[in-house]
Amino acid sequence: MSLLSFEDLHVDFDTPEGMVHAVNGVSFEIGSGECVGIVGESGSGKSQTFMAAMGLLAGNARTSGRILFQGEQLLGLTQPELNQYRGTALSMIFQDPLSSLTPNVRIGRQLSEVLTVHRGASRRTAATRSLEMLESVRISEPAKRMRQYPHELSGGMQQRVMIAMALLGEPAVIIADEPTTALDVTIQAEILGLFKQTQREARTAIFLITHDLGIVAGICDRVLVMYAGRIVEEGTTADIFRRAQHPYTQALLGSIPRMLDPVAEPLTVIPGQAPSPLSVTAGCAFMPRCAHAMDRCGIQRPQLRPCTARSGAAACHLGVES
Amino acid sequence: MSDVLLSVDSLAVHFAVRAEGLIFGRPQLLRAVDDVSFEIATRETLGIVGESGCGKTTLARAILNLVPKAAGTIVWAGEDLAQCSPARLRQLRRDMQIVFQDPLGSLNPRMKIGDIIAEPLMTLDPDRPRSQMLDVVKDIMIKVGLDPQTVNRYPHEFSGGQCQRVGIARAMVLRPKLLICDEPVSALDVSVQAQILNLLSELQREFGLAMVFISHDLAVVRYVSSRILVLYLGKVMELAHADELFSEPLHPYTRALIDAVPVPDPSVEYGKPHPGVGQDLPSLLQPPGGCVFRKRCAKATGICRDKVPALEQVNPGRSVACHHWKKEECGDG
Repeated sequence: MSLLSFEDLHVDFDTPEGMVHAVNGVSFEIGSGECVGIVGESGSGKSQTFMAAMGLLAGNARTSGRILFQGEQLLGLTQPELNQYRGTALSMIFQDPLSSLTPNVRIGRQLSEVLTVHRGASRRTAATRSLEMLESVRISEPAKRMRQYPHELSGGMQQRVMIAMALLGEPAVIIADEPTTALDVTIQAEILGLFKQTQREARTAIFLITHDLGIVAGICDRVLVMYAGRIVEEGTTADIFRRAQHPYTQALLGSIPRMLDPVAEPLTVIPGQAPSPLSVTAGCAFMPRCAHAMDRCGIQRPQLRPCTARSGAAACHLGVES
Repeated sequence: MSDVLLSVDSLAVHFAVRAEGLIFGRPQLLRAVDDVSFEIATRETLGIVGESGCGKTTLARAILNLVPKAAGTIVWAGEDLAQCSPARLRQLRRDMQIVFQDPLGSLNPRMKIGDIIAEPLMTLDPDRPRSQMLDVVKDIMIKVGLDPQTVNRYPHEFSGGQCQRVGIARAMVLRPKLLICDEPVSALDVSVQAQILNLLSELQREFGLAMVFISHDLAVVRYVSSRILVLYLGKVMELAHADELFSEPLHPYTRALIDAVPVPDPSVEYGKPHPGVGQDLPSLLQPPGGCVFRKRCAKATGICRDKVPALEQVNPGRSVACHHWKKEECGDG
C-alpha cells in the first residue's frame, strides 16, 4: 500500500517572462520503509515536486494533479490544514541547514516546538525527548547544544539538528533535499547512516533528492531520474546502474569520474544544456542533446513504458516499435 | 624530478584571530597552513584534498602570494618569490593563474565577458597592441568552448558551466605555465562537471600546463591528478601518486576519506564504519597536541599524543605523516 503518491502532478510558475513549466506530469509513489532516490540536474523539477507536497511553493505557482497521503489529497489544502500533516506525516530536510534554522532561537526550543506544536506535549517532556533525539543523532555534548544558537554549531552538527527535528515528529515520510551536499564526505557518511537506521528501525519512507549518484547507489532502493520536469526513467537501484535504458541516464552515469576504476578515457559529456522551462516541446525534451535521436523524437513525446527486461520504466522511443 | 616548475618548502600561513569574547579576547594564532612542502613539475597535476577548513584554499592563495606567508620558501623555476621585486613578481604572474570555485561570483557582473577575459592581458601584458587583443580573446574563447559571438554579453546571461569556461578563458589567456584550480567544478551539475574536467585535461595537453587541482571530491581529484596531497588541519598527512594513494592508502585519514566516498555502484557496500572519523574537525585554534588527527583516529596510541609524526619518505615520491603507517601496511597493527 502506498503511503504517499503523486498522480500527474503539474507545477507551473506564472512569471513576467511567461509560464515556467517546472513539473510536467509526474506520477510515482512510495511505501513505508522504502528509500527512493530522485536524481536530475538543477532545474529538472525535483525540488519543486516535493515543495508542492509540503505546500511550500512560491505564490505564483499553479498546480494540478493529485498528491495523496494515505489517500488524502494534499494539493489545494489551506496552510492550517497542511499543518496537520507537516512534521508528523511529512517532514522535509533542506540542503542548507543554517538558513533552515531560526537564527535567534536556541536549538533546544526549536526542537521542542515540534512536539509542543504538533504532538501537544508539555514543554518538559518535549525538552527531554529533544535531548534524547540529539543523543540518537550522535551530537557531542547534547545538553550544551540545547542551549546554543544555530550559528554556534558546525555545518555537520546543524544538519544533525535538522535531522533530529525531522525525526522528532515521527513522520511517516521524510523528504531530504540534498541533505549532505554542504557537508564533508566523512560527515556525510555519518548522516546517511542515520537515514538508513531510521528507515530500518522506524519503517520511515525516505525520498532522497540528490545529484550525487554515489549516494543513490549507496542507500536507495529505487531511483527516479528526472529531466525537464518529467520522469524519464525509474527502476530498482541495481537495474538503473547496470541496465539503464534511457540515453540520459546512461550519459549521466558515464559522466561521473570513478574513484575506484583506473581512469584513461575522457568522461562522457552530455552536449548542450537542459531546455529552458519556458519552452514547450512536442517531442522528447532530451532530443537536442541525445546521441540516439531519431525523427520521431522531435514529433512525438515518448511515454513512460514499463521495461521488458528489468524492473521499472523508461520514456524513450529507442527500441520501441512505432 | 627533472623539470621542477614550482617548489614549496616548509610553507606556513598564520592568521591572527580574536576568538571568544570578541573585542576583549586576546588575539590567537590560527595555523591555516603549517609546514607544507611539495614540488610540481611541468605538465603535472597535483591534486589537493581534505575536508573544509583544512587549508586547501589558503595554500593555493599562498602559492600565488595572495596571502602573506609566515614561513617557508616558494621557488618558481629556480627563483625565490620572496626575493623578487614587485615588478618581477608582476611579470611572473603571467605564468601562474587561478580558476575560482564560484563561477558567477568570480566574474564582475558589470563587465562584458570579452573585457573580463581581456583584463589579464591589459594589466599584465600592456605592451601588446590593443588591436590584437580581440583576436586573442576570441581565440581563447574558441579553445574553451565558448561562442566568440558572445563576447559582448554579460556574465548573468550564461549558465554556471559557461561562466566557469569564462573563468578558465580568463586564466588561460596569458598562456600560463601553472594553473591553480580551486574547486572548479563543485558548483556544477555532473554532466557539466564532465565537460569542464575534459576541457581542463585538453588544455593541459595542448599547452603543457602544470596544474594544482583542489577539490573535496576524491573521485574528481583522482580523475585529473597524477599526484595527490592529503591535507588535514593545515598539515600534510600523505603525498603519493594517485594510483598508489587509492590502491594502498597508508595514512588512516586517507583511508577514512576514501571509505567515506559513496561509490556509484550498488554492489559496493556503503558506509564502512570508521569510529571517530564522523566527528567534527577540532578547532584550528586549539589543535590537538601530537598528531593532529589522533582524536578522530581509530589507531591512535600514546605516541600519537606525545609526538608529532614527521613526514616520512616511504619511497621516492611518496611520504606519510603517521606513527603507525608501517603496522598498517603489514596488517599486524
